[in-house]
Amino acid sequence: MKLRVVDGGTYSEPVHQALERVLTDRLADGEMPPTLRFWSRDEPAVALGRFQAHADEVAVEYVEEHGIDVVRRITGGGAMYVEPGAVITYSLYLPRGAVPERVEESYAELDAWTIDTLRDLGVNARHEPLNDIAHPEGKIGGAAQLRGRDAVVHHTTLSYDLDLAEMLRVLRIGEQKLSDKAISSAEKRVAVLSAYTDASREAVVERMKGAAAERYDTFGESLSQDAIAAARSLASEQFLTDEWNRQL
Amino acid sequence: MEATVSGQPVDRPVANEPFQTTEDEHVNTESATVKIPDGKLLEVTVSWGDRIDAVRLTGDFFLEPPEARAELEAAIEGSRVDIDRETLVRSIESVDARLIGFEAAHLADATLEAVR
Repeated sequence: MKLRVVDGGTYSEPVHQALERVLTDRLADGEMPPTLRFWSRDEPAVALGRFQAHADEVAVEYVEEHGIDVVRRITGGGAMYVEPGAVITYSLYLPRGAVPERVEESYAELDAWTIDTLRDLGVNARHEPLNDIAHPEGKIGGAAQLRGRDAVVHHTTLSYDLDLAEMLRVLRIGEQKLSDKAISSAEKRVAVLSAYTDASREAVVERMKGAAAERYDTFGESLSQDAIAAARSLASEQFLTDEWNRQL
Repeated sequence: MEATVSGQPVDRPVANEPFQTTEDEHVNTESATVKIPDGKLLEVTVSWGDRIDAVRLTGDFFLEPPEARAELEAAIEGSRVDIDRETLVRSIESVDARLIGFEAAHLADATLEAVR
């Protein structure tokens, strides 16, 4: 399968999340080839799972004081705190026929090339069902999927060098989730790649592109201006509004 | 205590709008949380008098299509608070949706725990 690789273009969190909708629909409509997109951000933000309650997940006062965007994704799953240069986020937009119908299998398969890359770099990473990428010392990242009409979007965020103390100020880590696992410190639940590899974030991304090229017939290209304009407009209509972000 | 659903038509309260009460009906609101073994968390907030008036389902689960969240809530709303578990599970299962990271029984149990 031919796979377009897009790396470049720095956007706000609402525009990134709007791109997920726009690009998934464009693939389904045959207006875009299957694509792997690496994200670039310029501000810290919170990406909220589609079904999460805003006030349950973020320290509302703190994020308002610090002007941190809290944006609801189109995908389910949990809240992620993200910082520019400190996480690696990528999206795969694939035809439904190219993705295993069984959800458990599809997460494992669509993260496999990432896990192989991390292991090549000496990071003891593994897939942890349903949708986590884990190290024995904690969770490195997580994925979320949405199956549309004829397209699947699978996006994954890995912590490269995240400020975990700041993460704890921004997110309200679910007390029940913690106590159930009998873990006293929330920091222990997150593992960052930089603790296990000397490779820079950029070097990790380049290795990932190489791994993608081994599996697919890849070619580099930018997003069309048209798709970016559509995402900016959708961001104003939806992903920047309280009506969407604070619906729950 | 257990199921009192009879074969008779049940009179629905006139006011069946979420959070709306009739005069002699006390409305309660409680939440219950279920932690599912693989790590997903499901929170159900229920408002009820004699019947369950409103349900809000939140958490870090997945659902396809996502719009089915409202249908899952609607499958619970209108039930008597003493509905038996099996009937509630069947009602939730009748929604045409793929529940990912949780099952109908988890949602039913959280609902029943909230109204208990």
